[in-house]
Amino acid sequence: MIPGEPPPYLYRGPSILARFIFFALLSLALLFVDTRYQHLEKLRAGIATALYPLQQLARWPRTAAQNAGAYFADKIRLSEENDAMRLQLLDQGRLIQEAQTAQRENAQLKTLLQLKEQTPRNTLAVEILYDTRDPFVQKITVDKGLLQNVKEGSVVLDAHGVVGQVTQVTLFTSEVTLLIEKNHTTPVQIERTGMRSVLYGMGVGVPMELRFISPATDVRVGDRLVTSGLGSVYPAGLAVATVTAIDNDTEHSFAHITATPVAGVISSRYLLVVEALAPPPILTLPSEQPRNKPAEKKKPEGKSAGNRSAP
Amino acid sequence: MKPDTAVPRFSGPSLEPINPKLLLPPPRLWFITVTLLAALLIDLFPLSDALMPWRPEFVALTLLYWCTWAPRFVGISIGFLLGLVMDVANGSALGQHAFAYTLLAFGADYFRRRVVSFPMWQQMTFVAVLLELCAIVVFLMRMMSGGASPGAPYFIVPPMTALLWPLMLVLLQRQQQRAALSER
Repeated sequence: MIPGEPPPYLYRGPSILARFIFFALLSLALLFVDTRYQHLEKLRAGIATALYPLQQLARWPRTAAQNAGAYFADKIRLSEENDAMRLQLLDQGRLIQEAQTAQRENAQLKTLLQLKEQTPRNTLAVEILYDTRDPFVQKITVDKGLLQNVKEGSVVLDAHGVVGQVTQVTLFTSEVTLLIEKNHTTPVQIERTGMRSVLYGMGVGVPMELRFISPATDVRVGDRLVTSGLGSVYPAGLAVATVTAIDNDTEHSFAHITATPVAGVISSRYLLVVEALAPPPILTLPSEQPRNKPAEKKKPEGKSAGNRSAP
Repeated sequence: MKPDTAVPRFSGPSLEPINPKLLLPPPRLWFITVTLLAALLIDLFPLSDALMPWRPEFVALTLLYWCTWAPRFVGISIGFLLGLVMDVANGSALGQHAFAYTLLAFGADYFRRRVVSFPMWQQMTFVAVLLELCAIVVFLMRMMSGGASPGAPYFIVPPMTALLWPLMLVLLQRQQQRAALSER
């Protein structure tokens, strides 16, 4: 026995330094795999499911306070809110009727032109549970998950436009990556001109960047950017952002265009998840009325090689 | 071994027997589990967006406390597992908190014999430095793997959390002492 060393019967496993090195390397390996590949989703979903009751418990005081607040909200404010909503509903009812007429005409025209009909997508209203606390990422967690058939890659909207995309689904909750997440890309087009490009998120507090637009292109401050529908993840025509600044430096081959998202992520409590179409859109036969038959979506994909409708 | 080195001269406080009420028994496993769960619950508590970045790290603090006072029960492996849970709870990259808490547990375990005899302000400084060090290491790792900048609160929260260390000692040690007294 070495003097000064503890006797062997006090031996309690590997030394602290050895344990530290082992676990440090293990977490570094996890970090490497998780930031580069998608292999750890099962592990993450498992831990998240185990954590769910605790999260609900932590959320309970706020939910109770909100419910109590809603219960005791004063009558005048409620009736005012009600009136405003009624007016809004009236206005939107008119818009919907117009939209339906346009949609019908559009469908007929498309049938005439033998173009692909856009399949309606399943939507699901969700409630924001909380922002993820990690300061390095811009994500929110919502209250529906695998049990409610939320799918990864689905688009998330609020009343104004696109908020982000579902990137992680656990049993009861889903994680939504916001548009402003660094290096998150959204295929967009300028609503006024139809010019297509890609919108890049730059992180919180930094305006988004519209890239790959040459300085000669017609872009103006205030132009609305909508989803282009390319890549078939996002439905075409959803509002995404507004152009805030254009820097046409001729030294660079592309203009430096910044934009801010139109959706108010912080203000809204409820969001809408719109299912993404994982397989490419399917060409439906002209005689069919596919809008009433969502089951038609699972048709063989061989027909999708046909011409796509321009968004 | 020479006989005079076998019995080292003691130069610390007097060897008079101290009040046995002040001696802490080893903490109970259930108590450690409950406190860690409670810290997790506090950390999961939803806050408004403005307050969210300023949230003190209760799990890290509790882990630090138990790594110092109950190193037999709570060590690096528990730190690693707690870190994994925090990674999922916070939506961070898997391994980010795990690494930070591994480092934290190691630092606490390595210095614990010195730290327990420190005066309070030195203990708090030690906690602040350890937490800040972990924050900086995680920051560097995330920057290298292409994360967004976390903002100033990220670096201010660790010393802020260290201010809660006395509260931790009062809450957890009092409870332990009370438990010890009630058993006698």
